[in-house]
Amino acid sequence: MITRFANPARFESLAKTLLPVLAAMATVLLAFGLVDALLLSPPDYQQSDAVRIMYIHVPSAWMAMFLYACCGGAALTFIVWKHTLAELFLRAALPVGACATAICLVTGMLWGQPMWGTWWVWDARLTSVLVLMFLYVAIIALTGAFDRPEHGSIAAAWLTLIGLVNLPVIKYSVEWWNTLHQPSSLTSLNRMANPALSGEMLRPLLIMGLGLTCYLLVVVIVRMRAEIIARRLNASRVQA
Amino acid sequence: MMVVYRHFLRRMTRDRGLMGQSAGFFALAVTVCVFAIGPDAVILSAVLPGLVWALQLLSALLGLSDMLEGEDLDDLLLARTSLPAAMCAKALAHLTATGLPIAVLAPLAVSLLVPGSAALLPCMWLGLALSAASFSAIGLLGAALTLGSRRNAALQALIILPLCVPPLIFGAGAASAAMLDQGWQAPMAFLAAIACASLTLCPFAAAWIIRMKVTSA
Repeated sequence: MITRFANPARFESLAKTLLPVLAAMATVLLAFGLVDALLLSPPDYQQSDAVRIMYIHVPSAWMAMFLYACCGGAALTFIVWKHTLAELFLRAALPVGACATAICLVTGMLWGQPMWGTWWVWDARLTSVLVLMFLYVAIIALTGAFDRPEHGSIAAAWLTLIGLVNLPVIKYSVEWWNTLHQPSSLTSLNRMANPALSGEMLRPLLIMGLGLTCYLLVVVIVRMRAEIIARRLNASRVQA
Repeated sequence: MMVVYRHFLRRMTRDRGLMGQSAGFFALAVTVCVFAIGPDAVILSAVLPGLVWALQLLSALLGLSDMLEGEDLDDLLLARTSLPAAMCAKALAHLTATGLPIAVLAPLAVSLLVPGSAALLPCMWLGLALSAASFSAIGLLGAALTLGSRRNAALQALIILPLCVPPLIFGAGAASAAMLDQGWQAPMAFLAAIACASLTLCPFAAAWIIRMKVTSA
């Protein structure tokens, strides 16, 4: 399985079939999700319409962490097996993850201003996501800092792997510390039986999350293909 | 390993004068911050622990840009000492040259400046020594990561600073707690755990990174 997709040509053919499917799913899910989130779902009894920021904020936070975890897996695969595709994925996904983190931080600030009365507090959740943002920026800077691109990939993969320790800190920051940021409304067992989020709000949230996942995967695959093409061009130029 | 450690330490202190530089930088940086904040004793004693920790981190960055650069890597790779052991020696030499002088002297200065803080001395000595050890180990990792890159010093700071946030938080947290007469043992225990983990794991990671870079050439 791991060696099977090391071949860029095989990846290319897989990407060709996968891309239209993912793109269509992203379009439909995001379109429906946005209408559902912004118009159909009920306003919150305390926050009224400001709660709709959640449908962007929470999925982008999921994506920021999901992409980082994927990058961590790719980094390990690259370090252990020198897997070319893992390296391509790492380089393609890091800026996308950084964008997701930035969106999460900005929407969080926009939400915090009316709800908490402040743009920013130095609470554990906010600070650990800020550290995630800095990590993304540092890794991206590291990939481009070398005359030999393979050294950039090695360094970036290692820093990604080391930075993985931040993910559980983000996830559990709301439980380990007393934070202004609320704890998760979705992922604990007693919440499953006794949900904190009504179905009418959960539905658009999950649709937006799924749609954003598809959209970001499309972006990552397009970026990976562009990188493959750029490398081929480079190689043919070197040969010529 | 002791031989390698002494060799590195001699190069860092005698050849480059790192010990005086970092201690001088730290003293000047604290003075500059105090000038900027103002001489109000109440405010100063509230911010001083955090300030000491942040500036200790910054002065640990000083010796890093040439920690591995200019070193003959082939010598290290071919030496009889294993590469992780050599890396560990390097981190310890950096700790001795930059971290420990500050860790010893800064609490004394604080106890002179802030009246009634002499009881904090053991807590601050221990905390600063432990966080200096983590900073040196993590700094070694940053030096290994940026080895061979074009924009060395700034990039290193960009990499190391986010990774150094946990020891910074727990160290400064322990000192502030001690200053407020609260229990500082819990953050200190976390700090000790971080220091142990980084001192033992970072040399191996750094050695692996360097080997990967050399073999991919």
